[in-house]
Amino acid sequence: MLNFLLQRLSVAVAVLFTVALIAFSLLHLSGDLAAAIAGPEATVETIEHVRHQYGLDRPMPTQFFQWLGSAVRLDFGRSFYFESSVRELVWQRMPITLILGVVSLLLALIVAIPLGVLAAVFRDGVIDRFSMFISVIGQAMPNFWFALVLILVFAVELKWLPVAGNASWKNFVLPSIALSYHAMPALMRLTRSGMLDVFSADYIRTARAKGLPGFTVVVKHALRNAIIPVVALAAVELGFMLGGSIVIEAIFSLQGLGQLAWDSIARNDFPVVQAIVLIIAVFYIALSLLGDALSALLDPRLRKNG
Amino acid sequence: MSDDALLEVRNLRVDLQTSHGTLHAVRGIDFSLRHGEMLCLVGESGCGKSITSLALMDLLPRNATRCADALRFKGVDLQTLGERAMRDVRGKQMAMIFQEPMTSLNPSWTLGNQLCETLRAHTDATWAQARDRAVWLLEKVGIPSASERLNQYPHQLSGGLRQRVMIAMALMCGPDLIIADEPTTALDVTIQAQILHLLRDLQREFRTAVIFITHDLGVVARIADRVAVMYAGEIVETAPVRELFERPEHPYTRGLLECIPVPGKTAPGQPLQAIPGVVPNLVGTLLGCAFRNRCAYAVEDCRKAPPLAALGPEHGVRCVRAGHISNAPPLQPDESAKSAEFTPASRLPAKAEDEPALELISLTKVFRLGRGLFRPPWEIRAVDEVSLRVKRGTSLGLVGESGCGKTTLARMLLGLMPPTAGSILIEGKKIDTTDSAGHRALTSRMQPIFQDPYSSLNPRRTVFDLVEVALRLHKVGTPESRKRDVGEMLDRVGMPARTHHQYPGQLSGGQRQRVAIARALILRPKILICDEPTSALDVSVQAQILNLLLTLKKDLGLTYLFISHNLSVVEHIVDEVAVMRGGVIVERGDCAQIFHAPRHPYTRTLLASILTPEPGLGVPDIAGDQRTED
Amino acid sequence: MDSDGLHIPEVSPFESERLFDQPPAWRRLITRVLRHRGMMIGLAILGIIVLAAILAPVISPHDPYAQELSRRLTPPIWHENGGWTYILGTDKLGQDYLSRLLFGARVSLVIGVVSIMISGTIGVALGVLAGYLGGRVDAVINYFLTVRLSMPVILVALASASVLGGSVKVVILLLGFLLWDRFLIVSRAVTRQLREAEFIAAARSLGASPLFIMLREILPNLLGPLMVVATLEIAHAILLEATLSFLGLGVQPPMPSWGLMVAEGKAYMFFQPWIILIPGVMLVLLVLAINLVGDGLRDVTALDGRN
Repeated sequence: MLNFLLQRLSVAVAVLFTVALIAFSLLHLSGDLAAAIAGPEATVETIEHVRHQYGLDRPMPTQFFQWLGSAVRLDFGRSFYFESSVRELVWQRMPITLILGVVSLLLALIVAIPLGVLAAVFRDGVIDRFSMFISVIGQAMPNFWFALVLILVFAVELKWLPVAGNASWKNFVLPSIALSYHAMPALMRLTRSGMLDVFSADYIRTARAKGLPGFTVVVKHALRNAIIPVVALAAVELGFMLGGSIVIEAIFSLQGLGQLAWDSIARNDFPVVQAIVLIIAVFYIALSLLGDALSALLDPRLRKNG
Repeated sequence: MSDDALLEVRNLRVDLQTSHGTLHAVRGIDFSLRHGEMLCLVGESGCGKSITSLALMDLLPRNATRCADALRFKGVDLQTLGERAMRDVRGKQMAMIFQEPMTSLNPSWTLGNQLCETLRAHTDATWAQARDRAVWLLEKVGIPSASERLNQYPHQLSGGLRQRVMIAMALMCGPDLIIADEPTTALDVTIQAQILHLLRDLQREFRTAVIFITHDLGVVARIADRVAVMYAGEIVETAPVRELFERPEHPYTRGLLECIPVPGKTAPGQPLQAIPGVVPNLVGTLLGCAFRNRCAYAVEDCRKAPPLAALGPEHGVRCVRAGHISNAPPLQPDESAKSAEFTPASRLPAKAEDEPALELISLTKVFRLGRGLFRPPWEIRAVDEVSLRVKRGTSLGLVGESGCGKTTLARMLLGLMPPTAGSILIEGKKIDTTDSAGHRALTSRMQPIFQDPYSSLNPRRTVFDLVEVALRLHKVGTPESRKRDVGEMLDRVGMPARTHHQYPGQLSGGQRQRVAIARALILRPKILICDEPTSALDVSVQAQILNLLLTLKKDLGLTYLFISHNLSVVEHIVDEVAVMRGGVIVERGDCAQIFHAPRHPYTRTLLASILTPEPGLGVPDIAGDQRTED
Repeated sequence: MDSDGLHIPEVSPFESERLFDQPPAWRRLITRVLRHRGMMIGLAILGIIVLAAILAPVISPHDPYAQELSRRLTPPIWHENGGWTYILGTDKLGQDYLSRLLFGARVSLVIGVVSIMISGTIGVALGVLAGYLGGRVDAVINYFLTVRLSMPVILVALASASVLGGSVKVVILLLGFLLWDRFLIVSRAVTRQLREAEFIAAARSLGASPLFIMLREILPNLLGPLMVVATLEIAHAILLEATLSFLGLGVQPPMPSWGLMVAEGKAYMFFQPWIILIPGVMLVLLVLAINLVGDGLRDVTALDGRN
């Protein structure tokens, strides 16, 4: 197990290095950074001054390793736009995105797992058709459009919830619904197909042949095994949600990481964009490791003494 | 008869809805079972025997429906029970053991949990009481240190031990009836003998009735009290075990008995009496006797459905010619074997040509496991310095149980896996399988036939294409000459012309194996490596393929390395035998010597576990080395 | 056989002995498609949209780029102020909504199909290599996959588009080089299974090269699952294009794109909800139809295994 973890960790470090390299080169391809920072009306002297000030006149590899070196110490430099530390900026915005992500994931799981189980148990029945219908619609709806429709219905027509902002918990309701509906179909379908797979397994036939009550067969014998891949997917899905939050936060004006990313892209505020790409990659990798660890914990065959 | 009957089945029918139409899987069967009796349901795949057992338990798949005139179990008709009442019958009064011990236990719960929950679901026993009974039963089924096993998970046990756990689980509530569906088919022969012995002992001790489902007549002969032979969803013959084996009155029963090689009875190397054709499709309506298109005794009257005629108090046969079959003259061997002229001394050709066609010198394969960054590697010597010679035109049988290294050996020979050490010589020339020229030279001289006809043919190629691709890869001939050669070869293996443009999905298992043989032979190799070539086939088809292999060997002067776990088949087909265990050859010698005067104790154990279809001999008591089983 | 003057009847005892004489595979496939309701609905909707996109220049009532500022924000026909001239109304520049929708379908479909052709090629090539060769090749490819998955598509696409500037070409290339992950995962998993099949061992024993095995033995067996992935990924690409365009970094005005139409209408949606509902519903319909076809393909090809 320790060996396995160390191996995964070394891969994770290599992946993060590559992500950093990609983020760095992508943003330095965008043309003359110094000119962008100095602004459209700057003179040649000002641009040169800025270039020197930000260290943009040094060779690319030097710049990269300097940036990476400080990034490892969680120092992502200073924002061009805000003129403040990127770390503090990110630190401020992170909780909002995390709350949004976790709440959305929980919402998605609360709907997806029972629905997936019931759909599998009553295969081809009303619940199955209904859940299939919502998941097909959910997969077909563009995130941003669904968010707008939610605003139209619940904020404009019914006036139950605020349109935008992040003043209170009420501001999180619509964004969470929008984001969770995006993740829900995949989780639901995986639960359903996992349950159906397990139902045809020999050990379910054994359990039924033992005369166990239906509930025991479904929950203790089937769900216990079908849930393992769902847990792993849920962890990864949280990582994807951090990416998906860009659109949702932009629409609901939630001042989270996604909003910050979008604004910074629009403002050519590269230190911030680089930092966010890297942080999201760290989250994704950590979450997929967590997913693997959870499935190992749930599956006796993968446990240490297996 | 019905007074002391535990179970009485009258006119049971099961229909399955498939995309092709309604499949009549079980078509009106009758049987009854007394307390403490062992009834064997025997038949080939698709005859409806497993569906019958699931119908009794009311565990049929969703697309199946059952109906019967009576399904009386302990005086109650199971059809009148609701799901709740049926649940009380299942597991408590009627328990089941399945074929696949590796997948029949839930991987996520401990053995103790799974054993105890059965008792707790049906009685008000406490966990402690259930635990005590579980320990007692695990000891009964021969599991050492039972109380520690309770906390283990299924994956920590070998297949044989898991099947013992399944038996203990079936006995938890002391049922009146156990249904065992091919419980030993997935196990090695020595383990099979142990499990059968155990089952027979426990059945006598607990006076439990057993319905034992199997395709293996050897198993039937050794454990059954009474036998019901099933074919195409019907019981075609039912009789007490001795009577059935001594006086088979249905042509199908007789065919089944004659198509399996029996050491000491069938003449080695002689063609077997195969049953021609395949089992009919059960979609559609029955017209007349189901067996008549494969039956050598068929007459005009067979177009009408025959009733189950009583030949004795307990002997029923569904055949219009019942009473004339068992003493009818023996038939000619099937046509696929006709092309060869068999001489009585066909084994070990008298030619003084002792030059080996294939020679292995100290062939070794070591697997290094856990080649992690931070972990010391550990080794498995899968094949350990194996040296063998196969003389030209003869066949060598390589026998051993699963995990003995025989398949690894075959893969190295075929160049699918580089050997760790040692060398392979073909006709005296050393072959380097790792370089591509050497591999190419190897492929034109030696070809494989694999076990699973379902996975050995690319489903996206036609029969013709499957064989022709070998010629194209080796750039042999022109398109016209290839067309002719492939046609001839398919003809030789008995594939009719209309099948040449079909895909494997449209072929039966036997036909697929014929195509695999044609593909192997099209490059005119001298050596065939046959890795369990018949173990995935039904016995009647197995006989066809064995006959074909014998004919081809004779006609084309082939040399075989024949790998198998089935000793009866090996005895029938090979000249010399090598017994493998734990990566080494423990004994090798002439076939007759090995079978009649084995020297190594393991060879003796293996031979003792062969179950020939001879009733009255009982199950041999193999002293199993329990420790090797974990 | 004729030992006592009997014969083996050629006729089957059953009326329909069809097990080994089935109709050809493609025919069975078509029968199954026709019986699959979801897939038929999907195919119908998709057919209409594709046809409308192809015929857009013919059937559009107006030039999609013609602006008539005096008629801006005309509501659609079912609205009390609507009229037959602009059946679905006009946008903020007075461009005919129906014509822009029809031309927008072309943009969605072209971007969806072309970008998936690129990403499919990348993903399948890598997947088959990783699955068949295993070992180090697999480890390296798996590492690339992890790199790709750890960077959210939207974020990378937005950042790149801001650098490269939004256009149809950029969107196609971006999606083409970002959406190969699912192709890779599926083709690697299936290849791994197939690699263990005995027919691969048989091909190797016949002296077939790894390239031959990958292209001629494995690839044809991947077609079924890959068709499913391709349809679902086309839907995914269409959604991403709409999102990028909505965020202003995809297709640029005045070119019509459904995502862009929602973005342009966003400011007016509180008073004229139809302005975002119409393009949104079209997007949902198109993606829904493609997903239904993809799910249908999965069901239909899954049955086409062994007997």
